[in-house]
Amino acid sequence: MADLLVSYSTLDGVYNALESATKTFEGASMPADGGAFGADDVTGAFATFRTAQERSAAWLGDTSRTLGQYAHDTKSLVQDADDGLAGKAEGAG
Amino acid sequence: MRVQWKTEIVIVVGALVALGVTACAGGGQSMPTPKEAKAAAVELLLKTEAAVDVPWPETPEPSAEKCPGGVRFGYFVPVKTETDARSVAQTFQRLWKSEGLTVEPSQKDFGGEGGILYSATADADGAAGAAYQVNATSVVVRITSPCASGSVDDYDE
Amino acid sequence: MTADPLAGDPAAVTKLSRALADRQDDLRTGATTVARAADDAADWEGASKDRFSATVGTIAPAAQRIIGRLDAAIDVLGTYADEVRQIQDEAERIRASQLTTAMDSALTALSLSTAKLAAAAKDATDADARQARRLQSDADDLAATASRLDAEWDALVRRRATAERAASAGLSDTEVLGVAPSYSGTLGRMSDADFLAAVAAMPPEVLAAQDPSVADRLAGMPAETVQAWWDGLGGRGTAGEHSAAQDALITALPAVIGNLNGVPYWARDQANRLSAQRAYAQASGALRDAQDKYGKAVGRAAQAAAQRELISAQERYDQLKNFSAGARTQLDLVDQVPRQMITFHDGAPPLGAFSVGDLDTADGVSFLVPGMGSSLADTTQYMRAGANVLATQQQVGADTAIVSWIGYEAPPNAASTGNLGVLGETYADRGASKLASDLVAFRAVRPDAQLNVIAHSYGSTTTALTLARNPDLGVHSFVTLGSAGIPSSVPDAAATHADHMYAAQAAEKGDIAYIGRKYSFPHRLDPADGFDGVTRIDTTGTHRVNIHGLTAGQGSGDRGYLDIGTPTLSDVAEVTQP
Repeated sequence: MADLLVSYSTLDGVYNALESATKTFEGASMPADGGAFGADDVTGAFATFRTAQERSAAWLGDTSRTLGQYAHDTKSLVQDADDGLAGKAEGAG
Repeated sequence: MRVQWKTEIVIVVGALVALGVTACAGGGQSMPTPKEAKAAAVELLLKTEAAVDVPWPETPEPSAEKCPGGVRFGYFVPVKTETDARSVAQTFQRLWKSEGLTVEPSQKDFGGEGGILYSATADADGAAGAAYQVNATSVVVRITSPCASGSVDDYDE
Repeated sequence: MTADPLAGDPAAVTKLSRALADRQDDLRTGATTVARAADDAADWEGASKDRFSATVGTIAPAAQRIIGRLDAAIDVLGTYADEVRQIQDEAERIRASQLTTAMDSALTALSLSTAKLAAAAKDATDADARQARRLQSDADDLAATASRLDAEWDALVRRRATAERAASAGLSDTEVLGVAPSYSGTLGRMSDADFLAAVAAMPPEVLAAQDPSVADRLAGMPAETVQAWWDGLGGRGTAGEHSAAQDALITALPAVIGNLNGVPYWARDQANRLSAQRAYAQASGALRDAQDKYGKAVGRAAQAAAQRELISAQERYDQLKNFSAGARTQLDLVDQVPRQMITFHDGAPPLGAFSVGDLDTADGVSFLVPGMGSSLADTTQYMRAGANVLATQQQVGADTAIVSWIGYEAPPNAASTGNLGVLGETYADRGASKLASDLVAFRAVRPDAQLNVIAHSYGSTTTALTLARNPDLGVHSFVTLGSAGIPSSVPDAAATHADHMYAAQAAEKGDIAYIGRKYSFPHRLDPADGFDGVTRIDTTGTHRVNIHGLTAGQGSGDRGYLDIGTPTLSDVAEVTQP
């Protein structure tokens, strides 16, 4: 691949931050209505809203996680700028 | 070899199974370590490079492949350069023959700027093997180490 | 169902609102963290960064939109809670009054009947009459009050119904859901063109939240329609430069976009990388679980079951791991080129195709179709074999790409499994339609590029059926290497509709291809022997190919069909380049 040098510690930092964001997005829960509305159609509308919210947040979590893993994987495509001209360790995976 | 169809199948499958069990049946010299195998390959590579004056790049990181009982390392060196392909091919052949390899050359005219592509593969038992593909605009050499002890899983896929 | 003015718990609704506000805080925190990650990545440059930058930039705006929707929902809930509280208070007042009125009415009725009797008696006085009249008047007043209270109650019921309608409409509004109300219903009824326009207009987090039927409909669209639609969203695009709408589609529906015929390959690649990454992560977890379970299984039956599950989990894990590794495995090329994950189906088994070279721009593209026993666990092996062809073509100045196409379920390795599927045509038959789909897709987006197929072993059986059944593919060269036989329904080269057909058949160790052909049922033909219209690629002579595999590498003494330095490699490279 055409890339040259990127700092591994930069990529690690990006990965960690995005993992943290992923956990935050996935931990953001949607409450259940517990019959608070006293009306079937409002309860139904809230349930639809709830599903939409959960799926949207799932997209946030999925995308953040994927980006984090992408940053992580990029390390195997490029050489570590922090190492200067040193290539990958011999035979290391 | 007229036998029942079903029996033929059984024999066939049996033969295939037997083939699958590649016998690296004991005896003979022990396998080199990866370090030794790589060294052998690099040595042949450096000799090959020394024999022909083209702008060779730095020795690349090898790729790892499975081989019977272990892992072997390939060094692939491409050079984009204008050159007298036939002469380069012959030089490689002579060198590798002198190193005890059996060389099998061939060629194909692709036309165009590159002209004829000269190819060859070269082997010797237990030693590093080699191959080249050379035309008027590029030189490609591949040196493969002998099979070494170890597992390809220890290396990048 | 009539509205019940007393139903519901406003305090609980307020609590819901607070929970939604907490959720907003979480999403805000997450978005801030992502923004920080993007800032931290400032010194990361190059082609690998482009994909990152494009996508990371979509997260904060999406989070903002979701937070905005929560705001709108909180407003609706606040209004509803207030209304319900007021209505409940009013309802209680009315009920209390009705109770009092009813009691008073009963008492008055009693007094009235007594007073009437007194007024009608012989010794009745004027006072008795007045008393009776007064009590009647009281009774009338109470009846009117009761009537008025009934009317007030009915009005309250209507007010409650209105509040409920407002809340339910509010929660279904675009501002809260992100799409127009009743969208799912209308989406299904839209014309293809309107549907596509609607899908493209949705922000990614909203598209991702839609019903699966939306993804299914998109997946079924014809290639020409899709291509026109995609180009209309900001041009064909490239990995580095494309529109936000295109990026939204990739991140919202990766499983669809990654395999959608008509979408350019750079986009399919990005989408499939997302899907494959997720599948691999999931497979890793499943493997750990299976290992756990196996360790804890007690009793023969449980252990046997757990072992089967573990084997299966390990297999899937290996396949997805190697497929993902295709992105970074070292390839021996003269010039490094982009790699594209052009299809990926997370099924049982998972299947996919990985190109070496850019399918959107290469002048010539070859599909390498593998044979018996192949799976995604062999991805890197096929990519390396394909890279040999590509490297040779690069040496002669051609601009080509080669696809390792592991897009069908190949019959198991007969030698190691005893499964003789390779001798039949079922696997080839099923695989043929999958190969056809991907070749047709290529033709739809690259009508003028050269298309070739290099088929190994049972892959040639499959490919022959594909080509015979799809006469308009415009295949330049169909090359078979170690063919396991051509089905007799494809009797000669002309039946494949390819411009040229070539066959290389070596005297292989173990004669695997020969066995595959000889014992095939229904009987298959040998393309390298007596097959009309085929040019035979020489594998004999001093440099003879002698194994069934595609590569063996020097140093082993064996030769594969596509090893560097071999004449077969040169021959194959020549006939598969423009």
